[in-house]
Amino acid sequence: MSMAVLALLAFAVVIEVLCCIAVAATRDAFDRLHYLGPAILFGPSAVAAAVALQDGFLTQVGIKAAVIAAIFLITSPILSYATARAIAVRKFGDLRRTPIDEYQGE
Amino acid sequence: MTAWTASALALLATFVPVGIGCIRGDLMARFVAFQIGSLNAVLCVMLIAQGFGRPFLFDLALALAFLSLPSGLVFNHFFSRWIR
Repeated sequence: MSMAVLALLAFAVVIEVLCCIAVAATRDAFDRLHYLGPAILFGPSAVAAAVALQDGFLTQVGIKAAVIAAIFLITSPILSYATARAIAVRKFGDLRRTPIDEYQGE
Repeated sequence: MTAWTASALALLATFVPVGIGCIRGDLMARFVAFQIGSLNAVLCVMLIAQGFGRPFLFDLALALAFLSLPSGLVFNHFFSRWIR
């Protein structure tokens, strides 16, 4: 096992552990959502890169690991946006009303 | 114990703070903690598959990763409209 694989695994584990501790330490949903970003961005990418380095990029396992990382990279912004919107709807009600509407009394 | 299984064990340990996050805060804060828990589950399955030389377990990780988006969207839809 090469040093690059070990470094990638250590990087992924450290990122995940730090983000999980940060999620447990904060209480607000928006704050927690910030810590979800690096965990989704760096964790699967580093693990997939380590798997690909170990077994080869064009092997069955390497391709599956790359697909998993790609799924998280593509879907995490969508899920984060949907979650943030759900939090905002729960906190502020109807999002179609802007502060200008409030000022004009509409 | 290889580096893969050690990493999987370390990620399993992260379910303790994730569990603490899931029982603290309001409903949406708990849901965010649940999301990071599902991500860690996928990574754990990947590392276990690689550590124990079971390539078929990558299919399970792939299915979990595929299903994380629709399940999260359904949860968000219900949480934002109906469940208070």
